[in-house]
Amino acid sequence: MNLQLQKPGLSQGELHHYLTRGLTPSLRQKPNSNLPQYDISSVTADPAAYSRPTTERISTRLADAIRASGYILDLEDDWDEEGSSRFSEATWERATNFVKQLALSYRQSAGIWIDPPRILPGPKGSIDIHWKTSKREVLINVPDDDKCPADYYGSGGSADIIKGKLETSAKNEWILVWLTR
Amino acid sequence: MANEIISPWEKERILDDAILYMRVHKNHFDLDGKLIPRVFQNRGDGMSTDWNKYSTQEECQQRARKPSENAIIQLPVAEVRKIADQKVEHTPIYEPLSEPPILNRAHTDVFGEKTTEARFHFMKIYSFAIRLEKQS
Repeated sequence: MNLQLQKPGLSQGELHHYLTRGLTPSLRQKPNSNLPQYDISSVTADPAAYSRPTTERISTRLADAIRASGYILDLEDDWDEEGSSRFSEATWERATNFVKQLALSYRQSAGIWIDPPRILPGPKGSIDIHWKTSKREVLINVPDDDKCPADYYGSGGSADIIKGKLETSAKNEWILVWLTR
Repeated sequence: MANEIISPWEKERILDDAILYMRVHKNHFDLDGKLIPRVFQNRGDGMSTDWNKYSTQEECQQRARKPSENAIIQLPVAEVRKIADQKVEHTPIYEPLSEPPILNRAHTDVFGEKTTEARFHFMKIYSFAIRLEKQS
């Protein structure tokens, strides 16, 4: 496999770094002109991340998915032509932090990164997280009110259903264990 | 004595083999062009759709403020009724004096709370009748 083709623009040194330790800070901060730009420094630009165990850093794909979901914050009032209000940054951060923590926990226990979810505008100012694998999928709704727990429903067939509410600040790694079972 | 507008259209029973058309605004697609579950939500008491007995998919699209910015999806009534707490009810609209007038014999509401579970299931039963035009 030609890794240079998969990661165009990486120098030899950067490629080595990417393969062994993840993206370098300079690459991680490189803007993507096709997408809205958001400060995700808490996710990727923390220099201390390099002194932590490998599992403290998030995958490039997850960072990209979180960055891309920032378009939600660009949506203005009446964005759907049905009079819906814009989304709050606090709700988006709660949802994306939840996703990061889940992925990190799973990485620590399973040793691999899971494919990132779709992070989407939800009803009434909430954020939807749609996480799907080849066998199962789950829809998690993070409400606008930070005092309310998230609501989830997942299925891998009629006899394989999970549903309920969860605290986004708690460890919920079991969801990804179920999803990837 | 106030003039009372009486609708000429009776509410009818909708059978399981019917199809409901629903408009989907372009902002209800994600960056990869996939439909998002949020589209399945109530506006007022119910989720607004058009019954295929009285509306084509094109007519449904033309009722949008900006038709070219709306796709049309279809929902089989039998499948909608399998989703917990969802009720399909013919609710024709006859408001000739409103500005603009609203005359929609096909209008049908899907009543029932659009919970996360319900939205999950709606995502499983829809299909496209008219896809969104490619944006230039």
